[in-house]
Amino acid sequence: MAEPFDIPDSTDWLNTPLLLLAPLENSLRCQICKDFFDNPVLTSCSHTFCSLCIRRCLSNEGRCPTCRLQDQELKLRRNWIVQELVEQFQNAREPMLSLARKEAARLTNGGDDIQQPAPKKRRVGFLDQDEEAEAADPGSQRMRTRSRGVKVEVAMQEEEPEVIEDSQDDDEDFVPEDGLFSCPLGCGRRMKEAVMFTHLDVCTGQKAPSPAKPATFGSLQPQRHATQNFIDPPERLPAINYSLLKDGQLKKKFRELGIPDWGSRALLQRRHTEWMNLWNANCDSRNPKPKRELLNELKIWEKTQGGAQTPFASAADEITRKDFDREKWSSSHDDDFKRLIANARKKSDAQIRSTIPGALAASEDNVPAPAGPIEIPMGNGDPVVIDSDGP
Amino acid sequence: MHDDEPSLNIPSLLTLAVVSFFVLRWFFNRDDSPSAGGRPRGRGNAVDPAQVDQISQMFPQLSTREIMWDLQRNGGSVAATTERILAGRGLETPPPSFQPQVAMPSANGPARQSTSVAASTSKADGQDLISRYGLSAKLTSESAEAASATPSKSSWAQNKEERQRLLQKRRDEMILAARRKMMQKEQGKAK
Amino acid sequence: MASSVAQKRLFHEYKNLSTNPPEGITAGPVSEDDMFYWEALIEGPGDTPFEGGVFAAELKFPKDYPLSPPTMKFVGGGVWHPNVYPNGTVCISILHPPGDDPNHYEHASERWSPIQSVEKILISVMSMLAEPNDESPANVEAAKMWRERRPEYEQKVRDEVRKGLGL
Repeated sequence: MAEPFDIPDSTDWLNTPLLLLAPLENSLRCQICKDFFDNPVLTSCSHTFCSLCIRRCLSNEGRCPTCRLQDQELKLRRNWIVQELVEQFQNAREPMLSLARKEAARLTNGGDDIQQPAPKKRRVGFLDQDEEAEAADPGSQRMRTRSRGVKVEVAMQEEEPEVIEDSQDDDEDFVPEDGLFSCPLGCGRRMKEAVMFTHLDVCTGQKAPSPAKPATFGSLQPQRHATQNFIDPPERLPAINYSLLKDGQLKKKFRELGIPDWGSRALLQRRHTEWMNLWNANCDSRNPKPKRELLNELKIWEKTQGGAQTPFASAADEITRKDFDREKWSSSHDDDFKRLIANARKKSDAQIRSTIPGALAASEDNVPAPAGPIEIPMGNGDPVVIDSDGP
Repeated sequence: MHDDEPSLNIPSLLTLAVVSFFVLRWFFNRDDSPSAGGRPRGRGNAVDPAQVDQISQMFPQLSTREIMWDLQRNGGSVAATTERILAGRGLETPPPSFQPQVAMPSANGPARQSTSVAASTSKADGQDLISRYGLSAKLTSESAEAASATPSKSSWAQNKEERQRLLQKRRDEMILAARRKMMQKEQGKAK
Repeated sequence: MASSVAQKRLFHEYKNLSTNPPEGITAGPVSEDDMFYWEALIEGPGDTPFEGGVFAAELKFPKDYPLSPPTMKFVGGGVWHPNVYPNGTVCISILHPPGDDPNHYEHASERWSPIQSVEKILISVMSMLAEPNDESPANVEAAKMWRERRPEYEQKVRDEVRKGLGL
């Protein structure tokens, strides 16, 4: 499992002289996923979340997580300024942080410019902060703070070009490399090669303000935004009233959408909701991702929350599928099978031993005695004891 | 390309209604009789851990809570539960108020724990924290240092093992500090 | 396997709780290989019979965290408290999803929402220890004792606190 090795977080600032940036960074993060806002949108109660996060929440319970007022996905509005703030902050973050950490390290070394190996800086910095907080002598602290201020200033000047360079790099008018082609007639839409020809038949060559469904996404269109070209977002997916569709119709719909159509009905509904959220959140993006990337994200969802995760109900559905990959299944569950076989052997040995006393001596030296019904070997080797309920 | 399923006709709907009525009636009758309202099931109706064990070995991916819930509802029939799982119907999620009579970590719960301290986690019910975290060895050395040791307030490392170690250290410190304080308080009272 | 939204968010919370821990709280995953299983220590709140004690609890997170709340259970010695089941499971409104209200008394605003966090849960549990909610006792005996024989309740809690510390 690919674990996040380490992730940037607002607490990164806490051990540096710039600890006041921690709350700033925190306000630039979505309170649902704790990450920087990704396609921030505004609810009708004026709270901002990532487009995908709030869509998932709304399809789950239909309320704003902050104030619990009822809201609908259709009412979400893009929050461009927040997106810009986040982007600019992210650009500035690395240089600022490395500077702040250098400074923190320098302070702990008592002004020596001894280079610290990078991973240790954090902890050294933290010691420094603690020390400061508990410093008995306010005089020395004041002095240190002042000298630190000067140093930061000097260092800032040294590093400044770097920062500028970064913000230049981030010019937004680049064409996204998403495998799409823009319409040669200049209507501004981007699409796959395959769709292009059908599109050319109908294209008027004029920039359409909002194709097809103004009610669902015209409202989310940017009202105005300086210097940036907007690509018309792909069309939004409407919600489906699942109870109106029979299984067959639903599956047909899934095939039209190009998403997997296996699994129980409940799973299908959950998958469609997730797909709709992924898709519609992508529509909020300034640079929409290509569909295959969204399909990848759906796959991840499938593995972690959907049908490909552990609950057996859906796994059983998978086995009964026609195109079930037998080899893969048996190889990926090899360990489980082996363990089950071993357990079964142990158990039958135990049974033999309890019924036929003579067998005990024979099997004792090669099979360890099972620990009885209350201790079972779990998959990872640690014995787990079932304890009867407390008092 | 794909034919829609034939729509339901009236006789089949009627049959369905009758069948579901009986199923529901049977279900509720059986469910209500043993204990009325309140927390489900009395203490006498505990699930046999061996049965739970048996099923969770067959289907390690199911949570024990679900298994116990199903076993309790079908009166402890392993065969019925197995049948249900194999038929692909899956197990129902137990209601939040369901308190299993047998405590056991769920099958998809704790992964392998690297430290000896954590290894004792699941069997710790009814233990005190000192034995739970294997701190008895540290008691003697710590009491000598007494309160002089300043507990580290925060810790984070780039490295996974290091993080684990720091967390454990903070945990141990917290327990030992509380114990020291408690002992001091009692000594103060005794005098 | 790619890490899910839940894992990432839990990692954020873990980091936050480690770098900037609130007073009297230590929490983190038992092993980083399974971010969905945590263990937490909380200190007993001051000026209550729980004062001076340290309580261990396990937290289990659902795969769709933070949409659904985790469950919390005290381990290693029971906690004698009206809102804690005899097996240690904590019954507190912040751990209940807003959809279901088994007790019909909680305000939706007190219940789980994706913007809540492990830290907020643990802080709520600390204040729950100080002020039991009498309306929906999870441990009826403890609730009765708390209501009718307060000195006995407090003595029992103090004894358990000492036992928990191995004294």
